[in-house]
Amino acid sequence: MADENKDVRAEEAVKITEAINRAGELEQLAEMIKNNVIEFSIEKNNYRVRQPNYKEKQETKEVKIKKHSELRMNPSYRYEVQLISELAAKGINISDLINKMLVCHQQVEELQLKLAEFGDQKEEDNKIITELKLQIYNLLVEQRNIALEKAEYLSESIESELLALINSYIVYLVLEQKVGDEWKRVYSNYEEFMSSDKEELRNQAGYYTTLLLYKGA
Amino acid sequence: MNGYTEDPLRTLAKSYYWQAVFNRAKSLPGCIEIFENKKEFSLIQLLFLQYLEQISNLYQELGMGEKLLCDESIEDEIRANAYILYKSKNKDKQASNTNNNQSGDKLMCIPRKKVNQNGR
Repeated sequence: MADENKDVRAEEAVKITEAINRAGELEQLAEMIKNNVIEFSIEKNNYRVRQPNYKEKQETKEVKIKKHSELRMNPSYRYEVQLISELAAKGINISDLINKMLVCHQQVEELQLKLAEFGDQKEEDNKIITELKLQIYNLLVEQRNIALEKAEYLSESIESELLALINSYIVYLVLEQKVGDEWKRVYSNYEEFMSSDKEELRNQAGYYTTLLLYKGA
Repeated sequence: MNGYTEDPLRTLAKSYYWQAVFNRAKSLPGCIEIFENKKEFSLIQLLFLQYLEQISNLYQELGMGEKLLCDESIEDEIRANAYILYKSKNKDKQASNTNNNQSGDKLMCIPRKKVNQNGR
């Protein structure tokens, strides 16, 4: 009896802890969406990222144009279309991957249309609902994996290099640290940002900045 | 379902609090604001608005007697998406049927091009 009580208490404690964590995460999320600024802290330092302003977007655009000129003059960098032809010669067909994704998408839609017909039923009363959900989920995972495989093959293209540059450059521009009552840019230049060993700061700032952007600079 | 987690943004959007705020903001424009900024919305804000509207619409349809919905299927992201697709496909079908029915009349309305002496 005493052991049973102990188990129940432990289970309930886990449930309540999970609920508190979930509520905490949602509260944090609500805080993140209230305006175009996301604050976070690492090792007791307060940081924030914000939406880039017009001037910063223009600056990023100029950096992108400059980098593009450099890359196109360098024969070791290739555009996506060039990479796709080279990969095809090695027997890796990117259009096959795209077709596979389309097939997955079509299969997901077919299953969704079947699932919708049970929309008024409870999942516990009809096991087909769980089966259909599982099939849809597995196909979505497959589709995502194929997309990642495709991105990996094309990751060295000029387009991917430029995208990576824009993303990291914006993070450098909008990452600020609270010093006293003021928010100040963390790095004085892009090179300093890129060579910094604060990987956690760069990663978190990068993730939050992606959430704030709507259109690329 | 192992490995599946709902988009936390959707979890937030379907909460009673945010649904109430969204519906009041719609009925009292200018009095209740969802975000501090009034323009330049970020990606995360636009996604949140999309979820708020989607869930609000689903509950409205349920309230109006939609047969293919229940509370559980609205709560469940995969099932709700399935319903939304089903509805949009049915709308497409209805629209194309309407267009087919009207196409004869529309053709009658197209002014005939004048043919010149050379038959052009």
